[in-house]
Amino acid sequence: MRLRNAGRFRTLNLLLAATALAVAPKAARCQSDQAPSSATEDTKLNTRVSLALDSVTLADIAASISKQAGMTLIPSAAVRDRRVTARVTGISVRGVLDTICETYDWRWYRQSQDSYVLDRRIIRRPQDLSRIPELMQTALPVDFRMFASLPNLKTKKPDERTGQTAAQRSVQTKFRGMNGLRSSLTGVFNSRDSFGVQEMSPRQREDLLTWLVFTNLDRSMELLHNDAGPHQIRPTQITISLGNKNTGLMLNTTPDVNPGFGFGTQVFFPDGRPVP
Amino acid sequence: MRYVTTPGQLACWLVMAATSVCPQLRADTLIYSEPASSPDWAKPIEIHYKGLSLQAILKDISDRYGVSVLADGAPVLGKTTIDFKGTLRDSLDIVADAFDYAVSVHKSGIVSLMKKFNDPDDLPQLVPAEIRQTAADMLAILPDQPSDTSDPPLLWASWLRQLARRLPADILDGMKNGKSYAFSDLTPDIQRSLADVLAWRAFGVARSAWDRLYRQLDRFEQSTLHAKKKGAFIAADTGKTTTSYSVLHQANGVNGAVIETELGIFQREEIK
Repeated sequence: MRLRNAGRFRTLNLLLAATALAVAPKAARCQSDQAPSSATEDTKLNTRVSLALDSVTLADIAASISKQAGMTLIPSAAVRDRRVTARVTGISVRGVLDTICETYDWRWYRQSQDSYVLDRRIIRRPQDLSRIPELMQTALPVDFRMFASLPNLKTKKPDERTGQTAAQRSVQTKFRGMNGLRSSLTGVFNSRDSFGVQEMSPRQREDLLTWLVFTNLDRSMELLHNDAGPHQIRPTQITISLGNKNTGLMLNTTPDVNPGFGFGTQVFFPDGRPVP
Repeated sequence: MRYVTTPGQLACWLVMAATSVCPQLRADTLIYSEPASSPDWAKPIEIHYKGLSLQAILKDISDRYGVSVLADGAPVLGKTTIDFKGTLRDSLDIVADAFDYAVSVHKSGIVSLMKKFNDPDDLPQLVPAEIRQTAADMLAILPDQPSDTSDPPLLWASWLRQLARRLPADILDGMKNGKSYAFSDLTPDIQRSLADVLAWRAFGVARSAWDRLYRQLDRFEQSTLHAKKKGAFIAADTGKTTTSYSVLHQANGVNGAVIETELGIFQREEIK
């Protein structure tokens, strides 16, 4: 009887251990696949640091942590210029790095002895095309995800179309950038034909970036929101027909696709045949 | 032989099993406690801030209540006035909300503040290197497609018109009479063209946009704006010449690729 109970207990232990292992990678999500080589090297991660830095770059934060902990923290080129305000008192380096990575969906890892790197996550092409919207969301910086009101794709209903509102906001934003740039550049081009980005004021630079970024961002909203669209269907789920008084060639989904949609382009038939 | 496990043994068992398979989860990770003194979030407090910036308020809350904070970027709202009586946690929420931020409390004990973007004037941080890497990641995710860096990218429409020219007469006549054709009704080469149109419309639009942005931000600091003459007219009454210019952003990439983006039309009066 005792042996049988003990066996049950052992089974329970194994189940609990298995559960712990299943959870473990999630807890270490911010860190890399590289294992720290020894506990002594890791002690610097337990150094408690304090930060009182207003509107500085991540590079400044990394420099301060490096100095206090006697280690080297290297932010990658992609993350080093992001601006933050940090008021931190007596938190371990590991705690600060974990928080930064949880906040921005980044990762940190040990590069060599006493040298650590802060970087974006590695993103690879998915085998399954249906994972593209989810991975595109992951690739987008966290503040862009909020700006674009990206939905939780696990709970979003298939017939919900949320991308259009986000695309409209993106378009409005790009025009704001363009208008700002136009008004500030009008005088500049009265006397010269060329103007370098390095000569621009911070405001002009932001207006230019706003124009460039948001002109392109709105093109991805259908995918980022995983709205019903061509990325969700196979060619066999398409029918072709003429629309718009026989001047447009339309691709529509077959009736089994729910929600259905269509798209097409103008095709003219002056003599019975379409021409470009 | 007796198999009896005490709770202590069970805990050790779990730690050993976890660290052996996942080395990142070393004992110090599992048992370290943060922070040294965690703020009492339920503590009732009163806050009175008059015309202060988010940074000034965070400094005060951090100094007075031992709250560690990390706030992203800078709010659109420069300064505000807040009077509130409630718990420390509620007070932080009120402050964050006033500046259009959301609060998250992390395991480390640090509180992070991220923007909610309810303010239509607010923007995400525009860091060229980060956005360029984002574009590179998007290009890694999206299936390979021919790039169309024109604005808007409409290569699929051009392909669809080419496809229309190759449709057999009987299908065209049928369509003019209101008939629609299933994929299986079409010849194999038309099917292939249709599949290409669908794939490009599905992924090529987004891919081309990220490709264009990647190139626009390549050596962004060295990029320039150019005024390109488009035309001129002379006013009959004053005799003054007004010239129209197209202003283009030109980026010269590291591999020698040049991409130009038109920003708009400007006019200037020629000074004689």
